[in-house]
Order: sequence, then structure tokens, then C-alpha cells
Amino acid sequence: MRVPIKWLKEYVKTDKSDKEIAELLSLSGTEIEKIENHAVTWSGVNVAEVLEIEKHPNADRLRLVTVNTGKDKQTVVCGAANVEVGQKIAFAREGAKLGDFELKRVNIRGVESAGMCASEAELGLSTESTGIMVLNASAKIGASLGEALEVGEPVLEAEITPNRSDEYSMIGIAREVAAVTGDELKFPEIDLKETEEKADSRINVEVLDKDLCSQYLARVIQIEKIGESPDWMKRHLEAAGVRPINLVVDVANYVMLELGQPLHAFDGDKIADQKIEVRRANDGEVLETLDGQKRKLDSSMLVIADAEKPIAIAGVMGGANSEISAKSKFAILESATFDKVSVRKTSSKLALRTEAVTRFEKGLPFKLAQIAIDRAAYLLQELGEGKVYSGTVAVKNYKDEEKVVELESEDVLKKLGLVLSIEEAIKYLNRLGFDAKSYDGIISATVPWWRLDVSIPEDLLEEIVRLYGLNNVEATLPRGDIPQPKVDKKLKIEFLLKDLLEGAGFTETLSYSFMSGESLEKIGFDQKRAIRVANPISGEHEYMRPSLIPSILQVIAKNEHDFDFIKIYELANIYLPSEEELPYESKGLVVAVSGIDDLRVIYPNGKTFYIAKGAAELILKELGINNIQFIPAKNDNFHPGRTAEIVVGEQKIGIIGEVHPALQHAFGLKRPVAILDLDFKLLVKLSNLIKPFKSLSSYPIVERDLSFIIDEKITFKEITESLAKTSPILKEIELLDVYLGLEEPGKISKTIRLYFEPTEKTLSEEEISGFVTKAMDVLKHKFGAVVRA
Amino acid sequence: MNNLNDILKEATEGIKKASLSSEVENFRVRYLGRKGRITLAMSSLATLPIDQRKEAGKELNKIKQEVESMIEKRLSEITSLKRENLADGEWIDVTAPGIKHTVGHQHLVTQTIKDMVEIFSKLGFSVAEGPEIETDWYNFEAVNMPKDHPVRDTQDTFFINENLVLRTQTTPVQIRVMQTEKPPIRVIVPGKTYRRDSDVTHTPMFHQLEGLVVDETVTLADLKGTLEAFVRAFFGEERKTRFRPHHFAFTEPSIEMDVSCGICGGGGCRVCKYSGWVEILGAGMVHPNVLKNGGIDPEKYQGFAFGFGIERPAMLRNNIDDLRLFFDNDLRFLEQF
Repeated sequence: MRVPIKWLKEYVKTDKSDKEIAELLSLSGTEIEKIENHAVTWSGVNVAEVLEIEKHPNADRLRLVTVNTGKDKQTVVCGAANVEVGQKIAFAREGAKLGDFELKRVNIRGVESAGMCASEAELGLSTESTGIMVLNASAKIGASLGEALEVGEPVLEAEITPNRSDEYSMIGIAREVAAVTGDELKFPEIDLKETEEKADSRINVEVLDKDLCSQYLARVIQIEKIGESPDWMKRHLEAAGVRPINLVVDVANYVMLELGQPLHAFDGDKIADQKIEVRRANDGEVLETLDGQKRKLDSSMLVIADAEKPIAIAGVMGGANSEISAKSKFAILESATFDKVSVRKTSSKLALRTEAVTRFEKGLPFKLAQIAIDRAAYLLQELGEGKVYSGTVAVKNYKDEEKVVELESEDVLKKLGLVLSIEEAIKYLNRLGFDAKSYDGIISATVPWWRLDVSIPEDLLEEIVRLYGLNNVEATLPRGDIPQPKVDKKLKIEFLLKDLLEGAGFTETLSYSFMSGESLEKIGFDQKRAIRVANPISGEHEYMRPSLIPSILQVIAKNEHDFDFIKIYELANIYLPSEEELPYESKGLVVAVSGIDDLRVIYPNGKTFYIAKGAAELILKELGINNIQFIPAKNDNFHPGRTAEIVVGEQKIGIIGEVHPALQHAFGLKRPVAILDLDFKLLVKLSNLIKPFKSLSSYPIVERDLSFIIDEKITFKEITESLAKTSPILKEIELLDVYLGLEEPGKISKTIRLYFEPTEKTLSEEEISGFVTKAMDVLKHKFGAVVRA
Repeated sequence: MNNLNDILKEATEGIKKASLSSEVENFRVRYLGRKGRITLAMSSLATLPIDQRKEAGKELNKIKQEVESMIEKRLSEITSLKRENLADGEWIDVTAPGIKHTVGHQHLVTQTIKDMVEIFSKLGFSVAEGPEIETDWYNFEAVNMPKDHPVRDTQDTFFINENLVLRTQTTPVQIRVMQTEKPPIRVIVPGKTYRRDSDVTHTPMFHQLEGLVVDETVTLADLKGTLEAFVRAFFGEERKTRFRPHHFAFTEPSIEMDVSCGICGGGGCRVCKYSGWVEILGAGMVHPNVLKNGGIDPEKYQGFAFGFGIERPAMLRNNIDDLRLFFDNDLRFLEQF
């Protein structure tokens, strides 16, 4: 909310500076986001007149300008070409502040300059300017630049929390200022001189939907001529961000801003049969509102109607058909208490937010309606020579009870950790308008009528501590028992996986959990089986992703142009419908490789696949997951010849493969991409981070290499499984090289390294030769390989 | 014997001239090897008459030892000479770039969460988690945000259906933790949250970290102390904190915490909007209704809770001015951290 400071000070006399007021308010719970004040931005900048211009003794382009500042004469160095004798200019003296910049005395080529003739750019009025700013000839010498440019009064921009409906008003803010400073609060004057004529002779009110309108007050004011508001009122309104229209409308707005109660003024002559009816709208009923829009209403909305038609949408906006104008003679003022939920719903249905809605939807105190309507009537009486008809036409349907909240005084220490006497606590409450006293260690506080937000003891604690000052509360650490620490295996493995992948050169990406229907279609996922967001921010974000693959392919598509080799991963939830109350949410790990790191990859084909596979092997090994099998598999999104399911024991834990060329194309990818998609939940379940120790062999490991030519379709798995049977001490078989460019088609050349790990003694050359010969025999006879010695 | 003296003379000159250790080793072979001249001379001793043999053998042994020691001496001379000349002899351009080792990068959000988890772990907090698709009851009702309350307007919500929302905050996990654990409770909940908003400072998905402490005696003063400890550990010892009263539906009293601006040190700059302070988080004493909804007796227990965005502190620490960069997945961004 915009709070013009001059206006605020009409209700609380304080010698605190604007900045101090802002600080005090912020620290007591009314956050001041900024002080809008051009006068401060330009402190030390005043109107001056150019008296004399001389040449600079040492520089051709510079001149010495003497100005009359109103207080004294100053001579400064000036480089602007447009300076002329007689001009009124913006003169910044030494110490002046221009935004962040403080002006200092400088020596410019041998001449002292204690100030400057400012340009628009230097004043922050434009981004660039040529020459100095020349002011209107009528500008008063010595006046501050803010005054000369009539930029208005300083304004506090306050963020009001939704619980404090009372603070959507000048008086509400003033109460806070008075409470924190101890300064006196001055309530606006109301001194009505009602005429003989009775209000109810001119208007008749009936409330048909009492549940949505607990109070409706109307006053009648007869005005001969509705003119403009006085200047002071217009300035206040403008500073608060409200456009002045005519006296009656302005007064209604003014009182709303002043006291927080929205008011509306109807033209009394436009109300059919002098009758106001508060009722629900009929479905399909149309009302043109004051903003010129035709609004289609329905029966959930409350309207103000006359005998024939709706004339306002209750609590939201008035109708054009009853608008007050300069020609109106009778103003019917409305001050009501509407149901906050109804106003809010109507406003959101019509997509029409107004200052009135902001206040009604938070809830308003019953007492306020009468005060506000009297205050408005008084202002019209004083400013427009209005005749205020006697009495308020009122329909009331509520019980307004005094609220008393009790607090055990020991809770100040027990809950706030604050040592405070009961007297001091009571003093703070009373400064905020409570009527607080104590008995038997209980603080009993009658809540001021304007504070609808206070109802439980904790609310009183908050009032006490915010006046005491949160920053005066000593900070301590909790002293109770430390709970039994929980070892969260999931979190541990998540962090470990990320460290592993980082070490292996993979970068973590983080995509939105959303995806488009189009992406679902690309991966052949039935949209009906995905969770749809009812109000997505765009089509790109319509579904909760059931797979991480489209996101990571999009990331590759985005980066493919700048990076020849991409290794990335994401660890995030996927979402699927479920029969349970909540949908299925479970983390997946997707790793993607695009391009090739050609230095280390021995394979002639499918290099990216093998880079991804290396990541899979690394992850599973480090997590202590053994007995892994990569079983050739088919999946519509993957390359039919380059895909495997990853199986641990009997359990399928994921898939690895090159993305199907069709999918690659659908995502606009230039290069093939290999994907590893693992179920994180299963990784956690199968992992074994506490690895059992295996004793170290005391005998040297022996390596022997074998090169052979073999049918290319004979898999590495077949070879290793057969060779494993040839020796009890054959520990590992490593593939060293693969060569495809042989003359004979369908053949491939491979080099493998056999690792023999003896357990009982050092191996003799004969024993090793025996094992190698056996291995060669298997290769020759079982697979028809040609072994090169 | 002349012959022997010739050998010695020749060997002495040759070894002296040798400048490479391999040349010296050649001399060893030539004189002392299996067919070396001294070795041969030794075996020819047998042809001498017995009375001369002893003398000649003695002489020959002396020469052998002399040659051996000359070889060792020369070898060691060559080694030290080589070491003295290492700077020139084995010079490389140390300014040329190193061989690239590639390491990946964890997302800045992950790095930030890890830092936060570590700090709070030391204060005795465990990590909890909850569903991202949440019921209206947990996300709103249970944390004191009834239907049709304007406070819901401050959180533009994504709906799945009438009953399910994308959680707008990590606060619902407070309820889930209270329902499953008994006090004393100290948990933090890092996780994804969603609001229907998108601009330089808002993305439809972002991360929050929620904290909850429930015990018989935790106070607002303890909340302050915990948050101050966090700020000093996360941002640095020199950073100051400031607390302001605020309003949240699920806490009473409610507070917000500001941290002195790290860019200007509190003097005022664009980042802190010239206030010297940057708003970091919201917190407060858990509202009795929230305790009740979590199945905890508010007469016996009390607690505090806090919550903050994870990206914002990261933006402040790493000087990032556009939140959207976090989810753009531009590798040029990701690889900076």
C-alpha cells in the first residue's frame, strides 16, 4: 500500500524522519519496501540562476559559471555547451547526493569547483542527456529540485500482511507508528450537523441475502453543485495512487484510504423507487461497471439493486447506471459489511480486482462502517456545502462482541525465551490499543475493535514481542535432547551418486517436472496415463513427467551446438497415476551421452553406448551391486540393435541404449545419444555400501594377451563365459582392442587380456602356458577363431 | 708388463673422455667383461711360471681395481654433471597448458542443498522428505490455510484436481513428520515446490528448505539462535542478521529474517534495493492448530519452523541475477559451479 508520509503525519505527530518511520514500521511488522522520494534522491540540489559565464583559464572547452543559489554565489566549472546567463538550472552543491553518488569538491584543471550544474542524466531523469538541465523560468531560486519539478510528496510503499486488514488505511499505519514511537494518535474529525430531512424519507434499504451482507448503511447528502476536490485532497489521493474525479467520488475514496472502509456513492436520482435492495444477482443479469465493462453476473454474486436493476456489484465495483456526476444533486453513500469470501469469489470470477475488494476480502470490523460513513458525510458537509440528511438508514444483522484473549504470563518466557515483567508486557499491549490487565499470573487483554486478527494467546505473544523488538531478543540454541540421528540411506546414495558422476565427468542438469503432451507423444506415452496439471502455465508444462528421457534429450538439443561431447544426468522424480490417495512418485536416474570421447573408446561402432555403459558399470560397482547382466532388449524408444536391459539377479533395474534414430530425429538431435535410465529406488534397495573385505593375494598376478579373428556376432559374454571354465584362477578378462576392417566379411579381430591370480603359489611358466593353450583351444574349437600367436 | 701398463693408460684416457654413461659402460665390457682385456689377462696368468704368477696376479688385480674405480668415478661424475645441467638438458615449457582432466559438475541447487544439510546436521537435524503432489489438506488446510482464505492468493497454485495440488511449499512435510515421529523432532526438508508464476525472479518450479523443531521447551530465542548459526555458517561469520515480525498462517508469532547485503556490506546498493538488507527467510513458532493437525499436543509441546528458497541464497552467494538460469540447463552455466 502507498502511504504518503505528509498524509500519515496528519494522524500522528512525530519528529521522526521518514527513514526512521520506515525502519520502525519494518521492524515492528509493517514492511516498508521502499520510500519513494525524489526530494531525498536529490538532496542538496536546488534551483539556481546563472549570473555570469567566463572562460576557464586553462581549458578551451570548459567554462566558469557563477550562479545565485538564493543563499550565496557559487562559481563552478562547467563543460556544457548549453549554459546561458539568466537560465534557471539544477545546482548541486558540495555534499549533494545524486542517487548513490555524493558530490565532492574537485579541482578541474587548476580551478576549484564546489558543485556542479546537473544534467538530466546526472539527476536520474533520463539515461542520457546533452548539456545541463534547464528549468522553467518561473522556478523559484533556492527551492529544492523536488519542489520545482512538483514530483509530489514522499511515499512509503508498505507490504501489508493479509491478516492485518486494519492496516489497509492511513489510520491503521498511524496507529502502528504511534505504538512504536509513543507519539500521540489523532483520529480524524467528525462533527456532523444533520438537517431536518430524514434520510429514510429519501432512501429505503432492504437486505435479502443476510448471510452475505451483515450490515448495510446508507446516508443521504444533498449537494447543490459537485465540484472538484480541494488541492490538498487531490494531492493526497494522487500520492496514494488514486485518480481524483469529483468531490463526492474523491471523498468516498479518501475515507476508504483514510479508515479502510470502502464506500460507494450512488446518484440518488438514478435509484428507481428510492429503493436499495441487497440481493443475489439473477443468472445472466448484466451490469455495466464504472470501468465501462459489461459484466455478466450469476446467482453466486451479491449485487446492490434498485427496484428495477442491479446498480453495483457488492464490494467490487459500482454500476455506470447510477454513477455520480457533476450534475448529481443527491449522493447516496453506502457503507456496508459484505461477506469476505463472497466478495473474493465474485472478484476472481469477474477478474476484477479493486481497492474495495482488497479490503473486503480480508474482513472488516462492524464498527468501522458507521464511523466511515459519518466521516465521509462530514467531509462533504465541510467541503461541498452538503446537507447531511438526518440519520443513517441501517440494516444490521450481526452481534458485535468484545473479544478478550488471555495469556499465561509465564508463556512469555516459556515460548519466547524472553524475560519480561507482566507490567511491561501489558504496557506494549495497551500501546497497541488493547485494554490489558493481569490477575493471578494471567494477562487478560480486550482486543481493540479494529484488530480482527487477534484471537489466541500466541497472537498476544506476537504483539508483545514485536513492540519489545525482535532484535532485542537474545539468540540462544535449543537446549533439549538431540533426537536420535537418522541415517537416510536414500539421501546418502543420492549424494554418493552425484559425487561419482561428477568424478566421472558427468554434469547434473535440473529440468522442470513438467512436460508437454507433444513430448509424451514422441516417446509413445499415452497422455491418458500421465498426470495432467489442470491449470498449466503453458502447453510446454502440461503434464507431470512420467519419464526423465524427454527432458534430458531437450537439454542435449539445447547444448549440442556448443558442445561436441556432452555427458549429463538428472536425478529426479517421475510421476504416474495411482489407485492410492497420492499419485506414484519415485526417483529416477537418467544419464545421457552425446558425441564421443575418441581417445579411450576401442569400439569401432556405438561408441556413445559404451561410454554410457561405462557409467552404468561404475555406478553399480561403487554401490556394491554385483551379478549385473546386460541383456539385449527391444524398446520402441531405443535403437533395436543397441539396447540392453540391466538386470541384477532376477530384477530389472533399468535400460541402456542408443536412442532410436526416429526419436533422435523427433527431438531435433544431430548426433546419436546414448541413454542410461535406472530406477533409483532399486539402486537404493540393492546397494551395499559396507563392502566385505577380500584378502589380498600374496602371489603376483600374471597377464597374457590373446589376439584372434572371430565371427563378429559371437558376443563378449559368450567368449568370457566359455574361457572362465578353462582355469580356476582366471580372474578377469579385459577387452583391449577391437578391429573391424578385415577382408573377410562378418569377421572381427579382438585382443583380450587374461588375468591369472594364483592363490597358493607363484605360477610357473609351464602352468601359465597350459592355461593359455586351453583358452586358445576353446577359441579355436568352440568358436572357430583364428588365434594369432 | 708393458702390456698391462698400456691397458691401464688406454683405459684411463678412454674413460676420462667418455661423456655418456653408456660409453663408460662399454669400457666396462671392453676391460672387465667376459672377454674383456683384463679378464683375458687374468686367465692367461695360468701360463706364467709359478714364481712370476703371484707378482703378476697382484699387479693385475691392482689394475683391475683401478679400472673399476675409474669407471664408477666417471659414472658418478657424469650423473652429477647431468643433474647440474637438468635445467637446460631436460627443459620443458611449463607455461604450455596441462592435459585436460574432465570432471563433471553438480547442479548449483544440489551443491547448495548439500551445504545446508551439512550445516543443519551439525545442529542435530535429520533430513525428511514428502510428496511433491500433495493433498489440499496437507498443503493448505492442515497448515492453517483454509479454503477461500486470501492468504492462498499469495501462492498461485497448480492443481491436479480438486483434492490434489503441486505443493506450493515444503510446509506440508511438517505435518507428515509430526504424524510419524515423536518429539523431540529436528528435521529439515529440502525439496521441489511449485507456484504458477514465471519471470526473472519466479519460476514455476523452485526449491525450498523447511525446518521444524518440536520439543517441550523450544523458544523464539532458540529459533533466532538457530537461524543466526545457519547464516554465519552459510554466508560467513561477518554477516549480520535482522528479524522483522511478519505473518504466516502456520506460525504465531511469525518472523522474517534479513541478512546484511553481501554486495555492499550493508551500505546500500542495487541488490539490496539500497536498504543494506536482503530478505532470506520466513519463520516462527509453530501455530497450535498446526501442532494439533500433526497429532501433537500443543499444551505439552511447542516448536519452531522456518522455510526458505534454496535458489535465492545461492543467487546471493554466487551473484546470479536471473533465477531462470537454474532451470535453463545451459551447460555454460552449469559448468561454472
